[in-house]
Amino acid sequence: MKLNQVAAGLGLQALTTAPADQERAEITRAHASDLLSDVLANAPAGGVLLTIQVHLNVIAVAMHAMQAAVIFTSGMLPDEAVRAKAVEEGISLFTTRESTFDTAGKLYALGIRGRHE
Amino acid sequence: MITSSFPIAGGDFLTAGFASRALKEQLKRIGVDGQIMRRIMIAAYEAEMNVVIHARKGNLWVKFDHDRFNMEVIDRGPGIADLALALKPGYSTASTEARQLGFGAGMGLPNIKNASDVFEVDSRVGKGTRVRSTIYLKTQPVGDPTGHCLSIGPELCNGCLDCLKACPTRAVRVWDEKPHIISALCIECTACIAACKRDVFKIRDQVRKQVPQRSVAEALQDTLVIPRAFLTQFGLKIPPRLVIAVLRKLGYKDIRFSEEWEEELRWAVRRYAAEQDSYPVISPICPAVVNLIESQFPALIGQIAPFMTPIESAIEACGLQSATFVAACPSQHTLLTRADLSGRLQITGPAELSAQILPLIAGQAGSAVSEQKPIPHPPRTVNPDLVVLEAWGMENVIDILEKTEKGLSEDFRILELSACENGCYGTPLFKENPFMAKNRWAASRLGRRRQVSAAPTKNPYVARAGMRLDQDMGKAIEKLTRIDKLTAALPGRDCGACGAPTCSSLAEDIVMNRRPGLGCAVLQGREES
Amino acid sequence: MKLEELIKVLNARMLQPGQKETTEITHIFAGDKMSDLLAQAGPGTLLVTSLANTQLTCVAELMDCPALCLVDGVDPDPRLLEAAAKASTAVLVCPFDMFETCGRLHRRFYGESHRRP
Repeated sequence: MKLNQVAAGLGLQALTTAPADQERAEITRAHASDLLSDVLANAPAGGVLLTIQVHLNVIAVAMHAMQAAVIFTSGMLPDEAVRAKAVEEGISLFTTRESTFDTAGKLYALGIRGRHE
Repeated sequence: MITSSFPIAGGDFLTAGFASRALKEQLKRIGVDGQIMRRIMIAAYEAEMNVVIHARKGNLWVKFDHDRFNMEVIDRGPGIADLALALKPGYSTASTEARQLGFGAGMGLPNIKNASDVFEVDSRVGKGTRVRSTIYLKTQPVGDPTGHCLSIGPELCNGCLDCLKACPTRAVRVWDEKPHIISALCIECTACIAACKRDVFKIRDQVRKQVPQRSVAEALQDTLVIPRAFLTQFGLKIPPRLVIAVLRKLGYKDIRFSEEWEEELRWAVRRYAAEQDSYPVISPICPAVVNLIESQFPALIGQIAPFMTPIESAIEACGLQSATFVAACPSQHTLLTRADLSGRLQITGPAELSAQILPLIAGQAGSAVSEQKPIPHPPRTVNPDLVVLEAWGMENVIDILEKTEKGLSEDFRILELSACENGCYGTPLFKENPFMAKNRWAASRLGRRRQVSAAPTKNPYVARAGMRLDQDMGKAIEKLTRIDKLTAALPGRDCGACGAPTCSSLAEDIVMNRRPGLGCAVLQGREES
Repeated sequence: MKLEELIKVLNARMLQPGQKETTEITHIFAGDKMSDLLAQAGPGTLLVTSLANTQLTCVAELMDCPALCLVDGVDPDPRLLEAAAKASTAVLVCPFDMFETCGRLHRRFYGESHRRP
């Protein structure tokens, strides 16, 4: 499923305007973690990252882990500096009021899976 | 009074938590429960972990008075260089080791502060840090006789006794020309507010928690949750669309209506009821009615559909973000204050918010506002067998619940019971006629359909102790016998002269020792003549 | 939903049984920040986390939380299991990652449609 379809399907609020090719990126994987070392080591490339961490390191880590997008859950919002860095690095940011658990559940219902399958 | 002391070893993540656990054992023995226990545990654990993460060693002291819990955590450690920064959510100086273990979210001090009723932190660089927290063990400090969140202005009272008769749970008294509310019996509906023509009863002014400084950009992200009735309060010349435009001007980007969650709850309860085989199912649509059932109809608790009330679902939906809510009644106000452990919820009242926007509305009446086209609701199938009974007004609600206890309402699948007329449109905090208000809302054709969820309950609904005469069943029965005897000896006129709404209430007040020197003026009059 | 129902979909190993066979779970929270786990844990909560240290059982005990689910097939410190036994907290280990675990639990908890009831 394409990133923009995923965002629409979950009612995610976009924090950045994604370039057209990113919007059409095919998303099949996701990773949920608040521990950055775990994200670096384990997040599947090209997937979306679910986290409540909103500080600057998240963007750097998401970039190194080649994540297509970061979804901040439980209504967490990054500040402007973080948002600007994401735009610079070409990472799409979204936020949702739903918890990590519920967001993961809904992504799972759309056919998105974790790294093992 | 109990005082205890627990040592804390810095850097030891294995034994960390020992002090908090030991404290919990004490709390259980004293009988502290529920929400107060949670707050104490959060404050104690976060304070203990601060010592473990940052200091060499420390100590947790606790002192229990009859009405409050005092905690002091003192450590020998590096101290805090910048207190303001340390209190900022998200800021942390925790080590990598601590972060790997899941600590260092930067929420320690803010969480302790928000769990506490009184909070103090001092620190000296190179010496150490002291954190003090006080948590009241009752919802009010001792000596305060009012209900959970109502304030009473006795100077406004003219002794008409309308409030005595209006209260559905007989919780109001008028003693020495001053109205009082017996907290244990109060279900936080709006009856006394509605009955009083002199505004004696008000919702207590929100104690403003110190919300951490947020940037303008962040503040504009604030969500505002209001009842739709708010939009139709300003009369004929100021339509709902204009009110929304003004609210946006004030800065609220996202305006939501509590009825969105109410409607979702209706559907959730219908789906739930379709799967049940015993009826009726009671919808938790009005928190005051839920309070009523918990206090006075505990046998029906099992029939309440296991969802949160709409305002609680709305609070859940806000996640960890900030939001401003308008409380339409005391029970909503209490739910909001109880939910807000992190200072992120601003709670305001209809009058307060009106006062904020009236200056902006003046002069705008009649100006063109952009048309909002409603998105058609996708059709939802309703099972025609599901008969839903909608009723409001506490007298009606009590009557229906009494009949439900006796099994006389099984022909209804769902009971949707509200304290106020037409749901929140009828709260006395709104001055407009509830029928006119509801119609004006419908005519405004506002209200885009939004995706919301009816959240299932986190904690099941439980019976309240309030009405119980005694913890001990034997003593309670004894008291009941004395109350019945005393009631029989009283005139039975329910005149209210003694300050209680009925003779049996006076008898109960006397047996429960609610106030010294209570007596029946009518009886005394008869004796003297 | 009963805990034993929920864990059927996880291929999880039950390392510590907890207080009763049929613990009722009313709320599931997934996260790796101890402060969040502390705030969300309650009498009917299942906590799902990538963490595996002994502080988890401490938090569960303090907040009367009946069950912990550790992900990524981790082998927890035996001291965690000891502490869990003393506090009667159930400890499960699930072979899937956090996202997959949440996805499966969500589907089971809310039913096939993934719609909340």
